[in-house]
Amino acid sequence: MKKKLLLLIGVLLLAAALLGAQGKKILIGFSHVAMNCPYYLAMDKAAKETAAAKGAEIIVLNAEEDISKQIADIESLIVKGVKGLIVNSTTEYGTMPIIKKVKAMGIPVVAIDRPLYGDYLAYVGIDQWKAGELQGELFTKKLLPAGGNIVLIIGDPGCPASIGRGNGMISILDRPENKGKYKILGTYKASYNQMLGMQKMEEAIAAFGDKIDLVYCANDSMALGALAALQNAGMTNVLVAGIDGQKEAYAEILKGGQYKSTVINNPTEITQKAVSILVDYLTKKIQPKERNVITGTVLITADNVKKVYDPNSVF
Amino acid sequence: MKLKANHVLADYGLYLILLVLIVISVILSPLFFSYNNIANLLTQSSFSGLLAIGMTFVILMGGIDLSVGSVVGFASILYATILHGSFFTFMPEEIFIYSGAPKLTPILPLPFDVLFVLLVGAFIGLISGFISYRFRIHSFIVTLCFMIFIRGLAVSYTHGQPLFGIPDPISFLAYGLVAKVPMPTIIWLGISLLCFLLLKFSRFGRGIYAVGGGEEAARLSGLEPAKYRIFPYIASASLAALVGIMMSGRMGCGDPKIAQGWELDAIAAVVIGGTSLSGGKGSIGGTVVGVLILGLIINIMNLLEIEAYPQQMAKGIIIVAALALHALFSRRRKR
Amino acid sequence: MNQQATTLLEVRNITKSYPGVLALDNVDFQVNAGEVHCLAGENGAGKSTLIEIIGGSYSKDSGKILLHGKEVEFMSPRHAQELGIAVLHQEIPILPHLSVAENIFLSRQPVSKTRFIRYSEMYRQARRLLDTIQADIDPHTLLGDLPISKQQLVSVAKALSLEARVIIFDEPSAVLSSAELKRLFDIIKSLKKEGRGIVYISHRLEEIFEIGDRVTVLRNGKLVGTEAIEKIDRGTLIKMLVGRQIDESAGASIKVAQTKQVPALEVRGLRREGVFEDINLTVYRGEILGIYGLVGSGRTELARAIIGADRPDTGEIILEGEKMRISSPRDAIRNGICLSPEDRKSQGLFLEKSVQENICLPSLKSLRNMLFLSYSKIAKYASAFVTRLRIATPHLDQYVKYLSGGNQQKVVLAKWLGMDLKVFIFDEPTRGIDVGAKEEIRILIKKLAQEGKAIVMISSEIPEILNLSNRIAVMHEGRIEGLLQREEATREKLMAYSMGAKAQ
Repeated sequence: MKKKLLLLIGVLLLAAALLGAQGKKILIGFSHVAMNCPYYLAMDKAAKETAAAKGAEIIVLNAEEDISKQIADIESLIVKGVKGLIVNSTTEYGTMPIIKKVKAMGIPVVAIDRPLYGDYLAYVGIDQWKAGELQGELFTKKLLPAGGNIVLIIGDPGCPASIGRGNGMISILDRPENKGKYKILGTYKASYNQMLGMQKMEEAIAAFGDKIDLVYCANDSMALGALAALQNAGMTNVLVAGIDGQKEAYAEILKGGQYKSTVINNPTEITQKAVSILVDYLTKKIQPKERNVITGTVLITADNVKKVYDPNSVF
Repeated sequence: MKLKANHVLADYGLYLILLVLIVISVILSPLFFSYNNIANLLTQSSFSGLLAIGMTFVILMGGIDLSVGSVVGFASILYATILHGSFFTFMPEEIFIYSGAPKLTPILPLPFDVLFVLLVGAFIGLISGFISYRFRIHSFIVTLCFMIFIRGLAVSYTHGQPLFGIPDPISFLAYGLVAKVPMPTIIWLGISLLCFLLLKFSRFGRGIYAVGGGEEAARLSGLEPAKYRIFPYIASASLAALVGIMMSGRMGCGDPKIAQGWELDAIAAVVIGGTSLSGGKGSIGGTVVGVLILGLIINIMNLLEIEAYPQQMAKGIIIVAALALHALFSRRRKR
Repeated sequence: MNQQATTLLEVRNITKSYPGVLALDNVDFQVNAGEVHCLAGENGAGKSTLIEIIGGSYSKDSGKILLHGKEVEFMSPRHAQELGIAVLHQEIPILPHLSVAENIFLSRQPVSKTRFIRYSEMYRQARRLLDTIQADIDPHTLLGDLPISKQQLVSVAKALSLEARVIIFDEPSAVLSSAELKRLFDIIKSLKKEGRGIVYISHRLEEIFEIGDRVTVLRNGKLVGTEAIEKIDRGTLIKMLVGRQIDESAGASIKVAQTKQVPALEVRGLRREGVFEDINLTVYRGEILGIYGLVGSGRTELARAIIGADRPDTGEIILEGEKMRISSPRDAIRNGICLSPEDRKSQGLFLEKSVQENICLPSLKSLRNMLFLSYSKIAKYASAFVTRLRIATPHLDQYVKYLSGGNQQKVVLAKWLGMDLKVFIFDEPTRGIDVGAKEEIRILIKKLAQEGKAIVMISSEIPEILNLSNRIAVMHEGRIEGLLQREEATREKLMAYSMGAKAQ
């Protein structure tokens, strides 16, 4: 009886050891910020698919928007023996020290979606500020040329995406030729979440009613929520704009109704690029052509939506 | 005999659970015994471990401190603010933007800012302890209000954004190694040792057990309950402030939103470690083991790549199971 | 024995009052070295108040305290302890999670030069102290793990460790068996020899005569007298305790036509290990059976056994000739017995609920409209009783905790009146109630008897018992020491039986 037990334990240990010794495949890690909206889920999927396609193993960990968990996740990935890291950082500065440490250990880091500070191999994402500017231009030149009142719904005040998208748009409003024509009625925070976007829009409607001319959201999920709130309130003249290029947003733009514009920020595309860069670097020592890879930051309106709309896409 | 076994289980059951967990971890993952993993485990345990020390004092007194998570966040941004000399500015927008190498203009020389933040923490604890004692309001309510207020204060002061720019010596607190042992662990175990000595070998410490276990009896024995009732909250908040500073080092910035929910982990560790919620019974040693047990559980789940939300489920179940086992062992001991 | 006794502690003209009550009125008391000075008096006579003042827990309103001839003011219990006065309370204050040694040395633990507690030294000293009183207790044991009698020995050891010159024992015998009591007396005698002054509070005459050198009697907060034990006898002591004033309040007791009817309630051979035994009682309809006895004699426990709150080990309860199985208060109530408990605030009422809710609670079933409670019925029911019993309350929704003691007791009574019950057990129904309300309650009880209910009334007030009861049973240490008819009962007999004198 005792002998059998020992044998069992021995076999288990061996099996564990074998499992631990990952085969010839290269192992990379993805420290993701969250998994609570379609955008992030699409990234997760794309990461796994691209890694598989390129013959690499990938572990994805979700920090649930908690910076200290993200640091712990990265440490965990190091323990697992990843050779490279993709990081979507919760806050820009919060990961600085840990990235430093990772780099010192010789593990290359590719930053994705949200910028981070440190010695990274490459950054892949859109230019958040430019995305905001593009929308700003659209508002001032095409949608509300005579001026108007805008409600702003951002994701998270600390998040670089919100900062860029929000302040980028505001920078256009602050231009001398636009001074005095536009007013930001209020700024709300909705965590990039559709449901919260709707709630916050309802609050804005209650607070400002008819004064609202346009609502600009830092991502499409929130914008779709805001749209629903407006429709429920019967306010079909208020214009809606978002960012990210979610397919539902495209569908709305296609309809030609209140929803006017968005900016492409394709999570799948970004992730594919990021993973490819990393794996190529690790396996074939290919240096990325540019350090900051800005994927197309393109404004989508009713004019060009047909070109990009694909109801079967993941995101 | 059965009696002996029950006694052994009651006294050493905790360590047994720890041992079993270690064995399970080793069996389930060969990565467990790697240096990196053990270092991580210890480091991550150190932060909740420090909070758990303070919580031990509070729970020994029959109270609870729900505000520690908020104090951690608050201390973290307070520290970053002082480093930039913009202590009295109410809208420090400039410091939110990264502009090259950090320009530090600290108000006080380095060790003193740390001391200052710790004192602010102690002061917060003094107030909450005093309110609870003087007005006879249960600490649950008082610290709950502080939790909300302080978090709100921290987030609104910084508009929710982190404040960057923490100097290297503080980073050392978080990442440094002394003889290959992570610095946070040294701090945690060092303070644990000090508090253990305090509780076991000083009259004040024994007084804490007395007032916590029976205030009227203690009073009749000549103890004045006030200082014993307020001290735990001062300790708890000061330690939370320390954790806030260390976390700033870990992140390289002050962040008002960190440590949400950490108070519950601290409470869980203390309770698993054998300290009774009704007060008067428990020990620092038990808390240290409780922290390690929780840390091990999370660590093994990470190594097994269990996802974040299922991890929460497992954590909840394991905590309840540990408590039930502990209660079972203690009850058997009475027979 | 010294002819010239040194007075260790003296209090003169001590007065202390609380809102509405004069607890101590110009009391003098001295404790000499090498004597046991007993302090006696009925419940509420002022003994505890005097002790609390001597022990430093309460402050006096006026008067002087002299220690070794010098006037002092006690600031706190600790202060009194430092000055050498130790009070061993009836409810021993313990820290159950700490060891015996720690309890003894709390806040005075032996420390090394570096202020570290020296545990081995502490245990050694504790061991020595315990040996002095020959207590077989391991100083490492947790105090909560010891039985109460051993806890008491620990508190004696603590007093010794304080090097107290004056040690006060507050009703120590309540928790001790006779063997343990004998050991305590040996300890007290040796303390006496060491020249300490002992104050010993007790109700029990035999103890006072065995251990005491002098005895002081308090009654209603006043000093009745201080005598040397060898100079008085039991009769004198009883007279001092009970006093000459006879409280002849209105109303002779009811003469019951004791027809040979079936008793409403009969108890046979009831016994509960260590609490009461060999209880045989009968109560007839329309009769009031009084039960007298001291604290600890088992009266409340007996009542609880009859009502089904605690299970007796053996014995029978017979209602109207039928043997009953009563295993819970619910059974008892269903069979027509109810209890008005001694602790009315925590056991008889819901303080945080209204008068109406308290009165209606047991009868809720009958106050329904189909499935739902009918609040109109409830209000009608409650207000009928408020009127009938003259309960003084501003409105039916008033929380019971705001009512005076007398009105609270009326609410307890009202609770049961509407339920057509046959046997009423009252445990100290007029305790803590002012004189006027006391009389009202007594009249109500008499009325109940007149209506044909069988009443058992437990009381410590002799005038009350003598006034109301048709027959009186006296309990002592769990047994019925005597059973008297009203006509033959006297104060002296009651007191004598309650303290252990056997019925002739």
